[in-house]
Amino acid sequence: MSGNVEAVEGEVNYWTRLHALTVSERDGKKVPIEKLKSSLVACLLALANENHCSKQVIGWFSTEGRVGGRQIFGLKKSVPSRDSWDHPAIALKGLEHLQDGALLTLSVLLDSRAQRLLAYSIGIQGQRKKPERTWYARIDLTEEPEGAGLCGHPSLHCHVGETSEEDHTLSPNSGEPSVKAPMFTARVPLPWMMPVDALDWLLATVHSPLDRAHERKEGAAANS
Amino acid sequence: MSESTGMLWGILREESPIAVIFYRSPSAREEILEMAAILAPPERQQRRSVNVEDAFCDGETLLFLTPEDEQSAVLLLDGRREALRKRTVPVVLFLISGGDGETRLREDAAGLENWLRGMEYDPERLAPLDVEGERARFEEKTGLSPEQWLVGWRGGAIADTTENNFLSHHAALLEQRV
Repeated sequence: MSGNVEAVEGEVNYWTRLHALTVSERDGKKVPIEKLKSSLVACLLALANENHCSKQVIGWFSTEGRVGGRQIFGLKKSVPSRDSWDHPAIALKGLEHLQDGALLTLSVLLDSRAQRLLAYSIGIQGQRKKPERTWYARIDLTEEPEGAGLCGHPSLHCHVGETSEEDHTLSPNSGEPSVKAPMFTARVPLPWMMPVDALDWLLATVHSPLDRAHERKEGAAANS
Repeated sequence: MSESTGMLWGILREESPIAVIFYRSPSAREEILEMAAILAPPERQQRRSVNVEDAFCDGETLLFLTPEDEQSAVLLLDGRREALRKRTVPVVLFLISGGDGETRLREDAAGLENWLRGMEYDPERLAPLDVEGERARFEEKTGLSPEQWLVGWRGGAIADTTENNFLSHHAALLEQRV
């Protein structure tokens, strides 16, 4: 895709082309379902081996859904940590930029019969070390375009900021909005990436030694 | 309703002599082998073999057995299963789901099948999803059917939160598709 954001050409513009590319990457080839799952497990096992989460993490994933059909790969309900909305989460520790207790959430929607990846949502939230503020980032691939436009709401995007959208929506306990103001949220458009790449990026942002591209760069330097 | 990595993780740590993993296609078998290699205890040596005779030696190695003739492998392992007792680490036999190997296991190898209680893993063999019950729970939680909820979600009327992204996956799972 061209790096230039072109003016609208009828119905075709940069954002519709970005969406078409995302759909093409997602739907254009079959996804090896078990390999997709094992790539995520391997990434988190490496995280556990670096002592950034419990080594039990590899047993915390489950697949639920319809036989030979749609399924959700995510964290088991029995995982010990939960986010403020009671989703199972992986507690992280020893990170460069976030205090211990940061939480990683993950859900991947798959079609095992068609061997297709349909959607995913992977996020990290926690308290920054300096300055001490809340921080969150979440990458979502949505099954179909949502919202008014592909520019404001691309099908693959990242939410990143200090206050998650949950703070602007109804509290699960009181049923009252925690912030009584219209919700404002910015979604950063992303090029195509598989769930494990999204997880890689999120982890690298909060702990630079986990940057696997950096590892490769150093490896290349060592080999030269 | 769910199949967990924890189950496979546990099987690979057992001291039982044999386990079975079911697969749907050769490529799926390779994917499951990759997952099993990741989940296997690092202190256990592991290797892959197509030769059933390997199951009767080197009982301390996690052996991933992928025989070309699965039904003969099942019958041989059943016939000589007493020789497997000395294994302290399982031989993990891969069988195609619904294939001749599984048929022999179910119909002609009762002794071996008996040994496999709790030692079978099939990532695709999910217990039936209680669709009606789950739909009722979804509606109770959101006030909308999965289809109605997805209309609001796709139209941008529902906030783009973690909670709602997760709910969208659940709604898509339960959606009645024509």
